[in-house]
Amino acid sequence: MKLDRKNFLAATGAAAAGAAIGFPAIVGAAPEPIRLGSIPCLTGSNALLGQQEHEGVALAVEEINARKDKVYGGRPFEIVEEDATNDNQSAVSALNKLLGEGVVAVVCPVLSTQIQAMAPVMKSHEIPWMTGGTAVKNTQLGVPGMFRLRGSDGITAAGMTNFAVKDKKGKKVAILHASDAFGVGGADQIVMNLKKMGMEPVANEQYPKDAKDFTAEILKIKQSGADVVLMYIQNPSDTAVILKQIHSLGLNVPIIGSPSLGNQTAMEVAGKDAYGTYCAVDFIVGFNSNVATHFLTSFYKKYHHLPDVGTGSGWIYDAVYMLADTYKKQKGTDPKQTIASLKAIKKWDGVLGTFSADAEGNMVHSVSIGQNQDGKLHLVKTVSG
Amino acid sequence: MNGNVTLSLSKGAPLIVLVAVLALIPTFVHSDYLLTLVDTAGIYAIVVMGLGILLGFAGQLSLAQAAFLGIGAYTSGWLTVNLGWPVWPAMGAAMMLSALVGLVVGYPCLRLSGHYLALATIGFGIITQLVLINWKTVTNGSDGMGNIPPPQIGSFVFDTYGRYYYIILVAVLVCAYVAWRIKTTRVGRALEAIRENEIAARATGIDATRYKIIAFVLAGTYAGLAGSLLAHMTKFISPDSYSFDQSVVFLVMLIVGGSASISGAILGAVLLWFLPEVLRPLKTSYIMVYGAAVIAMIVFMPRGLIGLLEALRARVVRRPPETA
Amino acid sequence: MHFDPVANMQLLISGLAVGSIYALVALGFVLIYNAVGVVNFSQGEFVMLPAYVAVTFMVPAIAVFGTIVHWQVPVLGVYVIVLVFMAGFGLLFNRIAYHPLRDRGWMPVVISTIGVSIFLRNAAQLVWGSQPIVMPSLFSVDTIFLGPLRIRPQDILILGVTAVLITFQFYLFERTTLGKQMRATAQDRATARLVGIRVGRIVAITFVYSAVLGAVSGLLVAPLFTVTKEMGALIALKAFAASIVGGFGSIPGAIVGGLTIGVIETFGGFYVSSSYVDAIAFIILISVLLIRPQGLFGERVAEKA
Repeated sequence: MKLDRKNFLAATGAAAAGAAIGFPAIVGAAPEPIRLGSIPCLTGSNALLGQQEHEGVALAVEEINARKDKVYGGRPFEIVEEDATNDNQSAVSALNKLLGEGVVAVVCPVLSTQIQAMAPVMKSHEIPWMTGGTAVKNTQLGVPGMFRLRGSDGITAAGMTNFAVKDKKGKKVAILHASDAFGVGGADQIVMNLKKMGMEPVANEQYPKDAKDFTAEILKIKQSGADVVLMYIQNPSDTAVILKQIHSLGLNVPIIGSPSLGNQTAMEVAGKDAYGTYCAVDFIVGFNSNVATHFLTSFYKKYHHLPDVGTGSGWIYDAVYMLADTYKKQKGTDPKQTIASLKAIKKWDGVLGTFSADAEGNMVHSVSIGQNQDGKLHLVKTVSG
Repeated sequence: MNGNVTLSLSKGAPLIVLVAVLALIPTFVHSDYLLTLVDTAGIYAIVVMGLGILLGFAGQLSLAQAAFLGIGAYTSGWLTVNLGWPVWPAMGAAMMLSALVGLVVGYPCLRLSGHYLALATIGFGIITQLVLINWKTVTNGSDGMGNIPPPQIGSFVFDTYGRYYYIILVAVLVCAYVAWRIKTTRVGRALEAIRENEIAARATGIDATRYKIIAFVLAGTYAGLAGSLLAHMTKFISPDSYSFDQSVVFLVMLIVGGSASISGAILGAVLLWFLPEVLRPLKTSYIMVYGAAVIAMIVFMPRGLIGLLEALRARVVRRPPETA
Repeated sequence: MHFDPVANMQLLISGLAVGSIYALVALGFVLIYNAVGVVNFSQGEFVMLPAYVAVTFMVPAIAVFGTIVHWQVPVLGVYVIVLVFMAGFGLLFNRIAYHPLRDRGWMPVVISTIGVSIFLRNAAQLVWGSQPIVMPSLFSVDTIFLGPLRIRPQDILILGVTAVLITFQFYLFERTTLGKQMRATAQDRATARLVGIRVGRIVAITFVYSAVLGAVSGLLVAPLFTVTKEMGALIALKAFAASIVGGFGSIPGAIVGGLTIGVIETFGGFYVSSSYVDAIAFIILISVLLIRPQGLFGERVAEKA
């Protein structure tokens, strides 16, 4: 199949021109749509995350546009979506493309390295930027419109460490983490938290990307005599395999993981090897909240599978709704005004819980510890950061 | 090589016009999106030209260009962020370190050939990326290195894509000129002889290993320069950009453009950087189309796009095509 | 770190199991190289593709092109389907990626195989989505206890099947006419043609055999971890390294090389550092290339034209 670029571009250009000219004439003075930019990573090795982000945005927009008033005054949301792929360069290109198309706000990404690559561009575009990346540094980059709708690694790690030492009475803490920015950042935060308690990890194992066998790491942890293991891993595949191997190699100590351990995919794939494990999450199934229940049922109805709330679809659904609510209150989409309103949010109820903004744009300040009991997460306790 | 000299004279005028047009692009293109694409394409063209010297001229397959890209980027980034060096000397240092690494790695490896060399370069590339990920004290590891400053001349700071375009344009032109000089002089002829038949070349007294190492060092230096340019443009770098997959992308760009030709290298880089962007409307199926397109181009256009264009031109002008 | 015999035994078994996978993939790869002088950069996808096909027919429900299908078939049937599918794939690969380029030297073919790799990895995402899929294990127990040792039954299966395949490989090449024809073609195609061997057919058979080896590798390795589109990539690179270490073009070399890398990697990850595990394979590779380029078993150093 030869894609003749000139013809393709010409055809697209003609079609676009025709649509642009024809559409308003047909519809007359329709309420102007609000263009919302979204950059999930739809292809590449994080495609699963991208798909979850895409689904979360689509559901929120669909629900909002089905309301009588839509966002406000009959104005619907219009999603402008570009694939961030896996590559930082392409992600920045995607962002530039979006910005060139007049979006008033951007949601995504969730990968902190992409966020940091995009930061220089967003510094010169003061529009609301709803992100899900958890690296502590993200909100310290000086991007005026950035908001973080998930708990940062600082909060998550503190919660995990606290639980391990105080609740599980761990005296010899071992860490197992991935080699990507998420894993390393989280592990560093854990070490910092342990230091505050006057402790050091007895083992701090990092496994390389694409590793298939974790015998070496698990045996080392076993040999260190650890009595609790903290896992900081984002990839649900890796999580599942590690849990399986932990089980088969006989490492029978409490396991406390980062949010991905509570990730729907990870739990399904790991099956009974995940039973009994703990994780720190932004959200827990069954948590008493109308918003959350509604989200779960609508999501399942539309997509026929349960959402990955914390890491994927939930926070982004909240992001879109948060913007919609703010636009409705303001009856406008002025970026600077929106940013100021978002910064002033003190108690906004979403799927993930109650959001309130701090000066840096962080919106989540607590983390919940849940336990996987027969495949379902049950709330054990909440820790505030 | 009289043919080439005559060619350059008759090419002179159109070339000047081309350069003039290229120089004017930022004045009538204002979209940041398009400028990012063009800037990145230019930087990648430099990498691919370097690979062209090694693979196109000398016939040596290396899959380590991404590693040199990373070495250049991190050297330049580290010097400017941690030691406060101004950007221009940092770029020079990046090039020199890349050249040095190219020499150190090339010296033993270029005694090998064909698949052995390819695999050794793959190994080198993977090891380099692992070092970038794990040497946290220097590179900051997977978190990446940010706040890399843009270059400036006096008080004129190159911090927009439009301004940066000029730096890239100059770099591309200089690199193309250097490559052209190599191609048309004794070094180029030696490399070509090695490519055609290394044993015969050695028999005629050419120190094949020495020339291969020179080509390898040049390829590495070009990529190092490109890496540095990229770092100061994007202001943030992270190790995941310097993977084996990325080296493969550069290889495909060269082959599609036309491996023995400098303009082929540039064309391949530009085209294959723009292709995924053009295919964006296809959403997730775009990369399948990309893979299929690559296979199709290899099967139907063995000498790349430049080969195709030359064949077409030959038919139009009714002259035998150049054996580039 | 104290020297713990139980841990070491554990590591050895894991290492041999991982190494067996590298060995099988390396074997498939060396067969192609010997027959047609080509480095197949999509050998990893020869492992990934059959794994996906297998889970499609093994699990009660799976999403194909976005819709959920229920195509579950008894296990034996799955194996037949996968082997037949990969045999067909081998033929197709020969036809599309190799045959049109066979007279153009090794580089266009290398690029073509790279294109196939990119295409297949993303086609897999298009067909099966990005969700990692679990291949059900054949065994009802997770661990077999041998004294203090805890062994995964799958590891034993891998070692067993690999041993059988190696024996079969030896028998095929040494004792059958077909095997001798394959060896003759690999050694010198022109002469093989002269003595009446139908080279085109032998080449096709080689691709099919290599693809079927990939099928076996995929079926063996998938239950250990999840099926994803990237699962073949790193395995393939290490298999390349293994075949060099064993001696490029040597079949016993590929096997020994694979096992060696698997074991050294696993022990290295334990005693030295897990972060640099991938580096270990390639450091070994580069050292071998520089010190003894013909590898452990290789006879020739000169590359094929």
